[in-house]
Amino acid sequence: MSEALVNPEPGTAPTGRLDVDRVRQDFPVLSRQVHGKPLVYLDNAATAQRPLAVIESMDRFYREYNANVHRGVHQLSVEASEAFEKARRTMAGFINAPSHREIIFTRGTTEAINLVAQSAFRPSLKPGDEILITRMEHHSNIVPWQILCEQTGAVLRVAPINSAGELLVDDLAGMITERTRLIGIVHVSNALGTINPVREVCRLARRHDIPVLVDGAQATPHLEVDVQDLDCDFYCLSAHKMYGPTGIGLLWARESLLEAMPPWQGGGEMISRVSFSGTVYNELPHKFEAGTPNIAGAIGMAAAAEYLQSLGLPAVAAHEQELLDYATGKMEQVEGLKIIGTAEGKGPVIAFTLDGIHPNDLGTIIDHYGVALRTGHHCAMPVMEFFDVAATARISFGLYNTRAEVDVFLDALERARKMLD
Amino acid sequence: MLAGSETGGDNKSMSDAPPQTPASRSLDALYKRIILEHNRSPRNARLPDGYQASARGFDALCGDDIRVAVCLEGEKLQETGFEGEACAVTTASASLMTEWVRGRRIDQVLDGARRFRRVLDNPDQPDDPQLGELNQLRSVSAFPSRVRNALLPWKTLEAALAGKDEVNSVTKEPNP
Repeated sequence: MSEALVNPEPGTAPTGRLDVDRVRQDFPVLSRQVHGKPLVYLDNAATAQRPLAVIESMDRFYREYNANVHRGVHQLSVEASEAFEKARRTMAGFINAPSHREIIFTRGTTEAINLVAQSAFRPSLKPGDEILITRMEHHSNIVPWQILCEQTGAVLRVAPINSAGELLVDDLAGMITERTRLIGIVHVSNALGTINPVREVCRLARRHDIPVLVDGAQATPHLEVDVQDLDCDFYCLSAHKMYGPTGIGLLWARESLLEAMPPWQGGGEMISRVSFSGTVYNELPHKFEAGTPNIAGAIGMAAAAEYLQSLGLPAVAAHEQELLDYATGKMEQVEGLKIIGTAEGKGPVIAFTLDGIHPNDLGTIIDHYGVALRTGHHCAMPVMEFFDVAATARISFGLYNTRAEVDVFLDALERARKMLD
Repeated sequence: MLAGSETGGDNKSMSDAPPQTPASRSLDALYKRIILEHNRSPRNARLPDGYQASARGFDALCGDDIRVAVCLEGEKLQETGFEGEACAVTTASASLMTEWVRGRRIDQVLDGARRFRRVLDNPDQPDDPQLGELNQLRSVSAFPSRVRNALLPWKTLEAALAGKDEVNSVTKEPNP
Protein backbone atom coordinates (compact mmCIF):
# COMPACT_ATOMS: atom_id res chain seq x y z
CA MET A 1 0.00 0.00 0.00
CA SER A 2 1.38 3.39 -0.84
CA GLU A 3 2.10 5.90 1.85
CA ALA A 4 -0.53 8.22 0.40
CA LEU A 5 -3.22 5.62 1.00
CA VAL A 6 -2.07 4.86 4.52
CA ASN A 7 -1.95 8.50 5.45
CA PRO A 8 -3.94 10.41 2.89
CA GLU A 9 -3.91 13.86 4.53
CA PRO A 10 -1.17 15.66 6.40
CA GLY A 11 -1.83 15.53 10.11
CA THR A 12 -4.36 12.73 9.99
CA ALA A 13 -3.55 9.28 11.24
CA PRO A 14 -4.32 6.22 9.09
CA THR A 15 -7.56 5.67 10.95
CA GLY A 16 -8.83 9.14 10.04
CA ARG A 17 -8.23 10.25 13.60
CA LEU A 18 -6.42 13.48 14.16
CA ASP A 19 -2.73 12.98 14.83
CA VAL A 20 -2.54 15.62 17.54
CA ASP A 21 1.16 15.30 18.29
CA ARG A 22 1.90 15.96 14.68
CA VAL A 23 -0.66 18.75 14.37
CA ARG A 24 0.82 20.55 17.38
CA GLN A 25 4.07 20.93 15.49
CA ASP A 26 2.23 23.12 12.99
CA PHE A 27 1.67 25.77 15.68
CA PRO A 28 4.90 27.50 16.70
CA VAL A 29 3.40 29.25 19.72
CA LEU A 30 2.54 25.94 21.39
CA SER A 31 6.19 25.29 22.10
CA ARG A 32 6.59 28.36 24.30
CA GLN A 33 6.50 28.50 28.05
CA VAL A 34 4.40 30.77 30.23
CA HIS A 35 5.64 31.53 33.74
CA GLY A 36 8.10 28.68 33.34
CA LYS A 37 5.40 26.16 32.41
CA PRO A 38 4.41 24.79 29.01
CA LEU A 39 1.60 26.86 27.54
CA VAL A 40 -1.81 25.23 27.83
CA TYR A 41 -3.95 27.34 25.54
CA LEU A 42 -7.62 26.89 26.39
CA ASP A 43 -8.91 30.23 25.13
CA ASN A 44 -9.63 29.18 21.58
CA ALA A 45 -13.13 30.63 21.54
CA ALA A 46 -11.56 34.06 22.04
CA THR A 47 -9.06 33.51 19.29
CA ALA A 48 -7.29 30.42 18.04
CA GLN A 49 -3.56 30.10 17.38
CA ARG A 50 -2.14 30.22 13.86
CA PRO A 51 -0.48 27.33 12.06
CA LEU A 52 2.64 27.77 9.95
CA ALA A 53 0.54 27.37 6.82
CA VAL A 54 -1.26 30.62 7.66
CA ILE A 55 1.78 32.52 8.91
CA GLU A 56 3.84 31.50 5.88
CA SER A 57 1.13 32.29 3.34
CA MET A 58 0.97 35.87 4.61
CA ASP A 59 4.72 36.13 4.93
CA ARG A 60 5.07 34.99 1.32
CA PHE A 61 2.62 37.65 0.14
CA TYR A 62 4.57 40.41 1.85
CA ARG A 63 7.96 39.09 0.79
CA GLU A 64 7.26 38.04 -2.77
CA TYR A 65 4.25 39.69 -4.39
CA ASN A 66 2.95 42.52 -2.20
CA ALA A 67 0.89 44.87 -4.37
CA ASN A 68 -2.55 46.39 -4.47
CA VAL A 69 -5.28 44.32 -6.08
CA HIS A 70 -7.44 44.98 -9.15
CA ARG A 71 -5.50 48.13 -9.98
CA GLY A 72 -2.18 47.66 -11.69
CA VAL A 73 -1.19 45.89 -14.87
CA HIS A 74 2.20 45.09 -13.42
CA GLN A 75 3.18 41.55 -12.52
CA LEU A 76 3.01 41.91 -8.74
CA SER A 77 -0.49 43.36 -8.89
CA VAL A 78 -1.59 40.54 -11.17
CA GLU A 79 -0.22 37.95 -8.75
CA ALA A 80 -1.76 39.68 -5.70
CA SER A 81 -5.13 39.99 -7.45
CA GLU A 82 -5.05 36.33 -8.42
CA ALA A 83 -4.20 35.22 -4.88
CA PHE A 84 -6.88 37.49 -3.42
CA GLU A 85 -9.59 36.19 -5.74
CA LYS A 86 -8.40 32.62 -5.29
CA ALA A 87 -8.88 33.18 -1.55
CA ARG A 88 -12.46 34.22 -2.25
CA ARG A 89 -13.11 31.01 -4.20
CA THR A 90 -11.48 28.94 -1.46
CA MET A 91 -13.77 30.52 1.12
CA ALA A 92 -16.79 29.97 -1.11
CA GLY A 93 -15.86 26.31 -1.26
CA PHE A 94 -15.25 26.18 2.49
CA ILE A 95 -18.89 27.02 3.26
CA ASN A 96 -20.23 25.56 -0.01
CA ALA A 97 -21.49 28.89 -1.31
CA PRO A 98 -23.00 28.59 -4.79
CA SER A 99 -20.84 31.42 -6.12
CA HIS A 100 -17.68 33.23 -5.11
CA ARG A 101 -19.49 36.45 -6.07
CA GLU A 102 -21.47 35.96 -2.88
CA ILE A 103 -18.40 36.16 -0.65
CA ILE A 104 -17.87 39.67 0.75
CA PHE A 105 -14.66 40.15 2.68
CA THR A 106 -15.17 42.06 5.92
CA ARG A 107 -13.12 42.79 9.02
CA GLY A 108 -14.89 39.92 10.71
CA THR A 109 -18.26 38.67 11.85
CA THR A 110 -19.11 41.93 13.60
CA GLU A 111 -18.59 44.02 10.50
CA ALA A 112 -20.51 41.49 8.40
CA ILE A 113 -23.54 41.76 10.68
CA ASN A 114 -23.34 45.55 10.70
CA LEU A 115 -23.16 45.50 6.91
CA VAL A 116 -26.34 43.45 6.71
CA ALA A 117 -28.13 45.65 9.25
CA GLN A 118 -27.22 48.90 7.54
CA SER A 119 -27.37 47.88 3.91
CA ALA A 120 -30.01 45.18 3.71
CA PHE A 121 -32.44 46.43 6.35
CA ARG A 122 -32.00 50.08 7.23
CA PRO A 123 -33.42 51.43 3.96
CA SER A 124 -36.60 49.36 4.12
CA LEU A 125 -37.39 48.85 7.80
CA LYS A 126 -40.51 50.59 9.11
CA PRO A 127 -41.48 51.48 12.66
CA GLY A 128 -43.01 48.41 14.27
CA ASP A 129 -41.13 45.94 12.07
CA GLU A 130 -39.45 43.23 14.11
CA ILE A 131 -35.99 41.69 14.25
CA LEU A 132 -36.02 38.37 16.09
CA ILE A 133 -32.86 37.10 17.75
CA THR A 134 -32.11 34.67 20.59
CA ARG A 135 -31.17 35.17 24.21
CA MET A 136 -27.77 33.56 23.68
CA GLU A 137 -26.46 35.96 21.04
CA HIS A 138 -23.02 37.50 21.27
CA HIS A 139 -23.07 41.29 21.61
CA SER A 140 -22.11 41.46 17.93
CA ASN A 141 -25.48 39.98 16.99
CA ILE A 142 -27.40 42.20 19.42
CA VAL A 143 -26.00 45.72 19.27
CA PRO A 144 -26.11 46.19 15.46
CA TRP A 145 -29.83 45.40 15.64
CA GLN A 146 -30.36 47.73 18.60
CA ILE A 147 -28.73 50.50 16.60
CA LEU A 148 -30.87 49.62 13.60
CA CYS A 149 -34.01 49.68 15.75
CA GLU A 150 -33.09 53.13 17.07
CA GLN A 151 -32.59 54.32 13.52
CA THR A 152 -35.81 52.91 12.11
CA GLY A 153 -38.28 52.48 14.96
CA ALA A 154 -38.18 48.71 14.49
CA VAL A 155 -38.45 46.44 17.52
CA LEU A 156 -35.90 43.87 18.70
CA ARG A 157 -37.49 40.69 20.02
CA VAL A 158 -35.60 37.99 21.88
CA ALA A 159 -36.43 34.27 21.82
CA PRO A 160 -35.85 32.53 25.16
CA ILE A 161 -33.50 29.72 26.18
CA ASN A 162 -33.86 27.04 28.86
CA SER A 163 -31.65 26.41 31.87
CA ALA A 164 -29.43 24.09 29.85
CA GLY A 165 -28.74 26.97 27.49
CA GLU A 166 -30.81 25.53 24.65
CA LEU A 167 -32.92 27.65 22.34
CA LEU A 168 -36.65 27.14 22.81
CA VAL A 169 -37.49 26.71 19.14
CA ASP A 170 -41.24 26.47 19.69
CA ASP A 171 -41.17 29.77 21.56
CA LEU A 172 -39.17 31.31 18.77
CA ALA A 173 -41.74 30.00 16.28
CA GLY A 174 -44.50 31.54 18.39
CA MET A 175 -42.76 34.91 18.29
CA ILE A 176 -42.80 35.10 14.50
CA THR A 177 -45.34 37.65 13.36
CA GLU A 178 -46.21 39.22 10.04
CA ARG A 179 -43.90 42.08 11.04
CA THR A 180 -40.83 39.83 11.51
CA ARG A 181 -38.26 40.96 8.95
CA LEU A 182 -35.25 38.88 9.98
CA ILE A 183 -34.22 36.10 12.32
CA GLY A 184 -30.68 36.39 13.65
CA ILE A 185 -29.18 33.33 15.31
CA VAL A 186 -25.78 32.25 16.54
CA HIS A 187 -24.69 28.90 15.12
CA VAL A 188 -22.53 27.93 18.12
CA SER A 189 -22.71 30.01 21.31
CA ASN A 190 -19.36 31.34 22.51
CA ALA A 191 -20.59 31.68 26.09
CA LEU A 192 -22.41 28.34 26.46
CA GLY A 193 -21.15 26.12 23.66
CA THR A 194 -24.69 25.38 22.50
CA ILE A 195 -24.99 24.28 18.88
CA ASN A 196 -28.25 25.74 17.65
CA PRO A 197 -30.63 23.89 15.32
CA VAL A 198 -29.98 26.38 12.54
CA ARG A 199 -31.39 24.21 9.76
CA GLU A 200 -34.65 23.80 11.67
CA VAL A 201 -34.90 27.54 12.32
CA CYS A 202 -34.22 28.26 8.64
CA ARG A 203 -36.94 25.80 7.60
CA LEU A 204 -39.34 27.51 9.97
CA ALA A 205 -38.39 30.95 8.68
CA ARG A 206 -38.69 29.84 5.06
CA ARG A 207 -42.37 29.01 5.61
CA HIS A 208 -42.93 32.65 6.55
CA ASP A 209 -40.55 33.96 3.90
CA ILE A 210 -38.29 35.52 6.56
CA PRO A 211 -34.56 35.69 5.91
CA VAL A 212 -32.16 34.19 8.47
CA LEU A 213 -28.75 35.57 9.42
CA VAL A 214 -26.36 33.11 11.05
CA ASP A 215 -23.44 34.22 13.23
CA GLY A 216 -20.99 31.47 12.40
CA ALA A 217 -17.93 32.82 14.23
CA GLN A 218 -17.74 29.88 16.65
CA ALA A 219 -18.98 27.27 14.19
CA THR A 220 -16.47 27.26 11.36
CA PRO A 221 -13.49 26.10 13.51
CA HIS A 222 -15.43 23.01 14.57
CA LEU A 223 -18.18 22.12 12.11
CA GLU A 224 -18.44 21.56 8.40
CA VAL A 225 -20.62 24.45 7.34
CA ASP A 226 -22.75 24.18 4.20
CA VAL A 227 -24.80 27.31 3.69
CA GLN A 228 -26.93 25.64 1.02
CA ASP A 229 -27.73 22.74 3.28
CA LEU A 230 -28.55 25.09 6.18
CA ASP A 231 -30.69 27.08 3.73
CA CYS A 232 -29.88 30.35 5.50
CA ASP A 233 -29.69 33.73 3.80
CA PHE A 234 -26.70 35.41 5.48
CA TYR A 235 -23.72 33.65 7.05
CA CYS A 236 -20.95 35.53 8.84
CA LEU A 237 -17.57 34.30 10.05
CA SER A 238 -14.23 35.50 11.43
CA ALA A 239 -10.92 34.06 10.29
CA HIS A 240 -9.17 34.37 13.65
CA LYS A 241 -11.54 31.94 15.34
CA MET A 242 -10.60 29.30 12.76
CA TYR A 243 -6.80 29.59 12.91
CA GLY A 244 -6.60 32.46 10.43
CA PRO A 245 -5.48 36.05 10.95
CA THR A 246 -7.32 38.76 12.86
CA GLY A 247 -9.03 41.60 11.04
CA ILE A 248 -10.59 39.50 8.30
CA GLY A 249 -13.80 37.57 7.92
CA LEU A 250 -16.63 37.39 5.50
CA LEU A 251 -20.27 37.78 4.80
CA TRP A 252 -21.95 35.25 2.60
CA ALA A 253 -25.39 36.15 1.29
CA ARG A 254 -27.56 34.96 -1.54
CA GLU A 255 -26.68 36.77 -4.73
CA SER A 256 -30.24 38.04 -5.20
CA LEU A 257 -30.11 39.67 -1.76
CA LEU A 258 -26.69 41.20 -2.36
CA GLU A 259 -27.78 42.56 -5.76
CA ALA A 260 -30.72 44.31 -4.12
CA MET A 261 -28.62 45.78 -1.28
CA PRO A 262 -27.17 49.27 -1.72
CA PRO A 263 -23.46 49.80 -0.99
CA TRP A 264 -22.64 50.33 2.67
CA GLN A 265 -19.39 52.22 2.49
CA GLY A 266 -18.22 54.35 -0.43
CA GLY A 267 -14.74 54.70 -1.82
CA GLY A 268 -12.36 53.12 -4.25
CA GLU A 269 -12.74 49.54 -5.40
CA MET A 270 -16.54 49.57 -4.99
CA ILE A 271 -17.17 51.74 -8.05
CA SER A 272 -16.97 51.13 -11.76
CA ARG A 273 -17.22 54.81 -12.81
CA VAL A 274 -17.24 58.02 -10.78
CA SER A 275 -18.35 61.44 -11.97
CA PHE A 276 -20.01 64.35 -10.24
CA SER A 277 -23.14 63.77 -12.22
CA GLY A 278 -23.41 60.26 -10.81
CA THR A 279 -21.41 57.22 -9.83
CA VAL A 280 -21.87 53.68 -11.05
CA TYR A 281 -21.18 51.02 -8.47
CA ASN A 282 -19.03 48.03 -9.13
CA GLU A 283 -20.50 44.58 -9.49
CA LEU A 284 -20.55 41.94 -6.81
CA PRO A 285 -18.69 41.32 -4.65
CA HIS A 286 -16.64 44.51 -5.05
CA LYS A 287 -19.70 46.73 -4.50
CA PHE A 288 -19.31 46.01 -0.78
CA GLU A 289 -15.53 46.22 -0.55
CA ALA A 290 -14.66 49.90 -0.47
CA GLY A 291 -11.00 50.80 -0.21
CA THR A 292 -7.91 48.65 -0.40
CA PRO A 293 -8.89 45.37 1.19
CA ASN A 294 -7.02 43.27 3.75
CA ILE A 295 -5.19 41.33 1.06
CA ALA A 296 -2.78 39.44 3.31
CA GLY A 297 -5.69 38.70 5.63
CA ALA A 298 -7.77 37.17 2.86
CA ILE A 299 -4.82 35.03 1.78
CA GLY A 300 -4.24 33.96 5.39
CA MET A 301 -7.92 33.17 5.92
CA ALA A 302 -7.96 30.96 2.84
CA ALA A 303 -4.81 29.22 4.06
CA ALA A 304 -6.57 28.53 7.37
CA ALA A 305 -9.60 27.10 5.57
CA GLU A 306 -7.36 24.88 3.46
CA TYR A 307 -5.50 23.79 6.57
CA LEU A 308 -8.74 22.76 8.27
CA GLN A 309 -9.88 20.96 5.13
CA SER A 310 -6.57 19.11 4.92
CA LEU A 311 -7.04 17.78 8.45
CA GLY A 312 -10.70 17.08 7.81
CA LEU A 313 -13.28 18.84 9.94
CA PRO A 314 -14.96 15.58 10.97
CA ALA A 315 -11.64 14.38 12.44
CA VAL A 316 -11.17 17.76 14.15
CA ALA A 317 -14.69 17.69 15.54
CA ALA A 318 -14.34 14.10 16.79
CA HIS A 319 -11.14 14.97 18.63
CA GLU A 320 -12.62 18.10 20.19
CA GLN A 321 -15.80 16.33 21.24
CA GLU A 322 -13.70 13.68 22.95
CA LEU A 323 -11.89 16.40 24.89
CA LEU A 324 -15.20 18.06 25.71
CA ASP A 325 -16.63 14.81 27.06
CA TYR A 326 -13.49 14.04 29.03
CA ALA A 327 -13.24 17.50 30.59
CA THR A 328 -16.98 17.72 31.29
CA GLY A 329 -16.93 14.37 33.08
CA LYS A 330 -13.98 15.39 35.22
CA MET A 331 -15.33 18.85 35.99
CA GLU A 332 -18.69 17.48 37.06
CA GLN A 333 -16.83 15.73 39.87
CA VAL A 334 -15.19 18.92 41.14
CA GLU A 335 -16.97 20.03 44.28
CA GLY A 336 -18.58 23.44 44.02
CA LEU A 337 -18.02 23.62 40.27
CA LYS A 338 -21.05 24.46 38.19
CA ILE A 339 -21.02 24.19 34.42
CA ILE A 340 -23.01 26.95 32.74
CA GLY A 341 -24.38 25.61 29.49
CA THR A 342 -25.28 21.94 29.36
CA ALA A 343 -27.02 21.71 26.00
CA GLU A 344 -27.44 18.36 24.30
CA GLY A 345 -25.26 19.42 21.39
CA LYS A 346 -22.26 21.52 22.27
CA GLY A 347 -19.15 22.92 20.68
CA PRO A 348 -15.93 22.43 22.66
CA VAL A 349 -16.66 25.17 25.19
CA ILE A 350 -17.12 24.78 28.96
CA ALA A 351 -18.13 27.84 30.96
CA PHE A 352 -18.23 27.40 34.71
CA THR A 353 -18.25 28.95 38.12
CA LEU A 354 -16.46 27.66 41.20
CA ASP A 355 -17.89 28.33 44.66
CA GLY A 356 -15.86 30.77 46.69
CA ILE A 357 -13.51 31.75 43.88
CA HIS A 358 -14.18 34.70 41.66
CA PRO A 359 -13.35 33.97 37.99
CA ASN A 360 -10.88 36.86 38.02
CA ASP A 361 -8.79 35.27 40.73
CA LEU A 362 -9.09 31.89 39.11
CA GLY A 363 -7.85 33.29 35.79
CA THR A 364 -4.85 34.96 37.38
CA ILE A 365 -3.79 31.95 39.43
CA ILE A 366 -4.31 29.43 36.65
CA ASP A 367 -2.30 31.61 34.27
CA HIS A 368 0.68 31.02 36.51
CA TYR A 369 0.48 27.33 35.76
CA GLY A 370 0.67 28.17 32.07
CA VAL A 371 -3.06 27.74 31.46
CA ALA A 372 -4.80 30.41 29.40
CA LEU A 373 -8.53 30.63 29.88
CA ARG A 374 -11.13 33.35 29.59
CA THR A 375 -12.96 34.99 32.44
CA GLY A 376 -15.71 37.58 32.40
CA HIS A 377 -18.95 38.00 30.52
CA HIS A 378 -17.72 36.68 27.14
CA CYS A 379 -19.44 39.51 25.30
CA ALA A 380 -22.76 37.89 26.07
CA MET A 381 -24.06 39.82 29.07
CA PRO A 382 -27.72 38.82 28.53
CA VAL A 383 -26.61 35.20 28.91
CA MET A 384 -24.82 36.00 32.19
CA GLU A 385 -27.95 37.76 33.39
CA PHE A 386 -30.10 34.76 32.48
CA PHE A 387 -27.93 32.43 34.54
CA ASP A 388 -27.66 35.07 37.28
CA VAL A 389 -23.88 35.15 37.25
CA ALA A 390 -21.77 38.28 36.89
CA ALA A 391 -18.99 36.39 35.20
CA THR A 392 -17.85 32.87 34.42
CA ALA A 393 -14.57 31.21 33.66
CA ARG A 394 -14.44 29.44 30.31
CA ILE A 395 -12.20 26.86 28.74
CA SER A 396 -12.50 26.26 25.02
CA PHE A 397 -10.67 23.67 22.99
CA GLY A 398 -8.97 23.79 19.65
CA LEU A 399 -7.76 20.99 17.44
CA TYR A 400 -4.32 20.93 19.12
CA ASN A 401 -5.46 20.48 22.72
CA THR A 402 -4.89 17.21 24.54
CA ARG A 403 -6.23 15.22 27.49
CA ALA A 404 -2.96 15.85 29.27
CA GLU A 405 -3.65 19.57 28.99
CA VAL A 406 -7.10 19.07 30.49
CA ASP A 407 -5.38 17.35 33.41
CA VAL A 408 -2.99 20.29 33.84
CA PHE A 409 -6.00 22.59 33.92
CA LEU A 410 -7.82 20.45 36.49
CA ASP A 411 -4.71 20.32 38.64
CA ALA A 412 -4.30 24.11 38.44
CA LEU A 413 -7.96 24.48 39.39
CA GLU A 414 -7.35 22.53 42.60
CA ARG A 415 -4.26 24.57 43.36
CA ALA A 416 -6.19 27.80 42.88
CA ARG A 417 -8.82 26.58 45.27
CA LYS A 418 -6.20 25.64 47.86
CA MET A 419 -4.61 29.03 47.51
CA LEU A 420 -7.79 30.98 48.08
CA ASP A 421 -9.48 28.69 50.58
CA MET B 1 -3.37 28.44 58.94
CA LEU B 2 -4.39 30.10 55.72
CA ALA B 3 -0.79 30.68 54.71
CA GLY B 4 -0.06 26.96 54.93
CA SER B 5 -0.75 26.16 51.32
CA GLU B 6 1.36 29.09 50.14
CA THR B 7 4.46 28.53 52.16
CA GLY B 8 4.51 24.77 52.19
CA GLY B 9 4.53 23.60 55.79
CA ASP B 10 5.11 19.94 55.00
CA ASN B 11 6.41 17.70 52.27
CA LYS B 12 3.08 17.29 50.59
CA SER B 13 2.40 20.96 50.24
CA MET B 14 5.79 21.44 48.58
CA SER B 15 4.30 19.81 45.52
CA ASP B 16 1.22 21.97 45.88
CA ALA B 17 3.26 25.14 45.88
CA PRO B 18 3.19 27.14 42.67
CA PRO B 19 6.19 26.72 40.37
CA GLN B 20 9.10 28.85 41.58
CA THR B 21 9.63 31.43 38.91
CA PRO B 22 9.91 35.19 39.35
CA ALA B 23 6.37 35.57 38.04
CA SER B 24 4.91 33.04 40.41
CA ARG B 25 6.70 34.65 43.31
CA SER B 26 4.72 37.72 42.50
CA LEU B 27 1.61 35.53 42.35
CA ASP B 28 2.38 34.64 45.94
CA ALA B 29 2.90 38.31 46.58
CA LEU B 30 -0.45 39.16 45.05
CA TYR B 31 -2.36 36.62 47.09
CA LYS B 32 -0.40 37.30 50.22
CA ARG B 33 -1.71 36.84 53.70
CA ILE B 34 -3.24 40.26 54.11
CA ILE B 35 -5.21 40.12 50.85
CA LEU B 36 -6.41 36.58 51.49
CA GLU B 37 -7.36 37.53 55.00
CA HIS B 38 -9.27 40.66 54.00
CA ASN B 39 -10.96 38.66 51.22
CA ARG B 40 -12.04 35.98 53.63
CA SER B 41 -13.13 38.37 56.39
CA PRO B 42 -13.70 41.74 54.79
CA ARG B 43 -14.07 44.68 57.17
CA ASN B 44 -17.09 46.96 56.90
CA ALA B 45 -18.74 44.60 54.45
CA ARG B 46 -22.17 46.10 54.86
CA LEU B 47 -23.71 49.45 54.09
CA PRO B 48 -23.74 51.62 57.22
CA ASP B 49 -27.14 52.62 58.60
CA GLY B 50 -28.33 56.03 57.53
CA TYR B 51 -25.59 56.60 54.97
CA GLN B 52 -25.74 59.90 53.08
CA ALA B 53 -23.81 59.00 49.95
CA SER B 54 -23.39 55.84 47.95
CA ALA B 55 -22.40 54.66 44.49
CA ARG B 56 -22.23 51.43 42.56
CA GLY B 57 -18.95 50.34 41.07
CA PHE B 58 -19.43 47.94 38.24
CA ASP B 59 -16.77 46.33 36.13
CA ALA B 60 -18.63 44.57 33.38
CA LEU B 61 -15.51 42.96 32.04
CA CYS B 62 -14.53 41.23 35.27
CA GLY B 63 -17.97 40.92 36.79
CA ASP B 64 -17.04 42.91 39.89
CA ASP B 65 -20.12 44.69 41.19
CA ILE B 66 -19.94 46.58 44.47
CA ARG B 67 -21.73 49.38 46.29
CA VAL B 68 -19.88 51.74 48.59
CA ALA B 69 -21.80 53.88 51.08
CA VAL B 70 -20.63 56.61 53.42
CA CYS B 71 -21.89 58.18 56.64
CA LEU B 72 -20.56 61.71 56.85
CA GLU B 73 -20.23 63.96 59.83
CA GLY B 74 -19.59 67.35 58.34
CA GLU B 75 -16.51 66.87 56.19
CA LYS B 76 -15.48 63.67 57.93
CA LEU B 77 -16.14 60.11 56.78
CA GLN B 78 -17.49 58.68 59.94
CA GLU B 79 -18.26 55.23 58.59
CA THR B 80 -17.79 53.66 55.18
CA GLY B 81 -19.04 50.26 54.13
CA PHE B 82 -19.41 48.16 50.99
CA GLU B 83 -21.28 45.18 49.69
CA GLY B 84 -21.44 43.20 46.50
CA GLU B 85 -19.73 40.45 44.57
CA ALA B 86 -16.13 40.86 43.65
CA CYS B 87 -12.79 39.15 43.27
CA ALA B 88 -10.27 38.84 46.08
CA VAL B 89 -8.30 41.91 45.00
CA THR B 90 -11.35 44.18 44.82
CA THR B 91 -12.73 42.82 48.08
CA ALA B 92 -9.46 43.23 49.95
CA SER B 93 -8.95 46.69 48.50
CA ALA B 94 -12.46 47.74 49.54
CA SER B 95 -11.94 46.31 52.99
CA LEU B 96 -8.61 48.08 53.50
CA MET B 97 -10.02 51.29 52.05
CA THR B 98 -12.99 51.42 54.40
CA GLU B 99 -10.60 51.11 57.33
CA TRP B 100 -8.18 53.71 56.03
CA VAL B 101 -10.79 56.39 55.33
CA ARG B 102 -12.49 56.14 58.71
CA GLY B 103 -12.41 59.51 60.45
CA ARG B 104 -10.60 61.25 57.61
CA ARG B 105 -11.87 64.39 55.91
CA ILE B 106 -13.15 64.29 52.32
CA ASP B 107 -10.12 66.20 51.02
CA GLN B 108 -7.80 63.78 52.80
CA VAL B 109 -9.66 60.84 51.31
CA LEU B 110 -9.46 62.27 47.80
CA ASP B 111 -5.77 62.90 48.34
CA GLY B 112 -5.45 59.30 49.53
CA ALA B 113 -7.10 58.09 46.32
CA ARG B 114 -4.57 60.10 44.29
CA ARG B 115 -1.67 58.74 46.32
CA PHE B 116 -2.98 55.20 45.96
CA ARG B 117 -3.17 55.54 42.18
CA ARG B 118 0.32 56.99 42.14
CA VAL B 119 1.92 54.10 44.02
CA LEU B 120 0.09 51.56 41.84
CA ASP B 121 1.34 53.36 38.72
CA ASN B 122 4.93 53.61 39.98
CA PRO B 123 6.07 50.24 41.29
CA ASP B 124 9.66 51.49 41.56
CA GLN B 125 8.84 54.26 44.02
CA PRO B 126 9.06 53.60 47.76
CA ASP B 127 5.90 53.06 49.79
CA ASP B 128 3.87 56.15 50.58
CA PRO B 129 3.90 56.41 54.39
CA GLN B 130 0.59 58.28 54.29
CA LEU B 131 -1.09 55.18 52.92
CA GLY B 132 -0.07 52.84 55.70
CA GLU B 133 -1.41 49.34 55.13
CA LEU B 134 -2.76 50.26 51.71
CA ASN B 135 0.82 49.91 50.48
CA GLN B 136 0.31 46.16 50.85
CA LEU B 137 -1.84 46.28 47.72
CA ARG B 138 1.04 47.51 45.60
CA SER B 139 1.79 43.94 44.60
CA VAL B 140 -1.05 44.18 42.06
CA SER B 141 1.19 46.44 39.97
CA ALA B 142 2.88 43.29 38.71
CA PHE B 143 -0.51 42.23 37.31
CA PRO B 144 -1.59 44.99 34.93
CA SER B 145 -4.95 43.33 34.28
CA ARG B 146 -5.75 43.42 38.00
CA VAL B 147 -4.89 47.03 38.83
CA ARG B 148 -8.45 47.97 37.84
CA ASN B 149 -9.70 45.68 40.62
CA ALA B 150 -7.68 47.42 43.31
CA LEU B 151 -8.89 50.80 42.06
CA LEU B 152 -12.59 49.98 41.74
CA PRO B 153 -13.49 50.62 45.42
CA TRP B 154 -11.69 53.97 45.33
CA LYS B 155 -13.35 55.05 42.11
CA THR B 156 -16.67 54.06 43.59
CA LEU B 157 -16.00 56.00 46.78
CA GLU B 158 -14.95 59.03 44.76
CA ALA B 159 -18.16 58.77 42.75
CA ALA B 160 -20.24 58.55 45.92
CA LEU B 161 -18.52 61.63 47.36
CA ALA B 162 -19.05 63.47 44.07
CA GLY B 163 -22.75 62.64 44.17
CA LYS B 164 -22.63 60.21 41.25
CA ASP B 165 -24.72 57.07 41.37
CA GLU B 166 -22.58 54.77 39.34
CA VAL B 167 -19.06 54.36 38.15
CA ASN B 168 -18.25 51.98 35.39
CA SER B 169 -14.66 50.98 35.38
CA VAL B 170 -14.75 49.47 31.93
CA THR B 171 -12.89 51.59 29.48
CA LYS B 172 -12.26 49.05 26.81
CA GLU B 173 -13.54 45.64 26.05
CA PRO B 174 -11.54 42.98 24.28
CA ASN B 175 -13.28 40.63 21.94
CA PRO B 176 -14.29 37.29 23.30
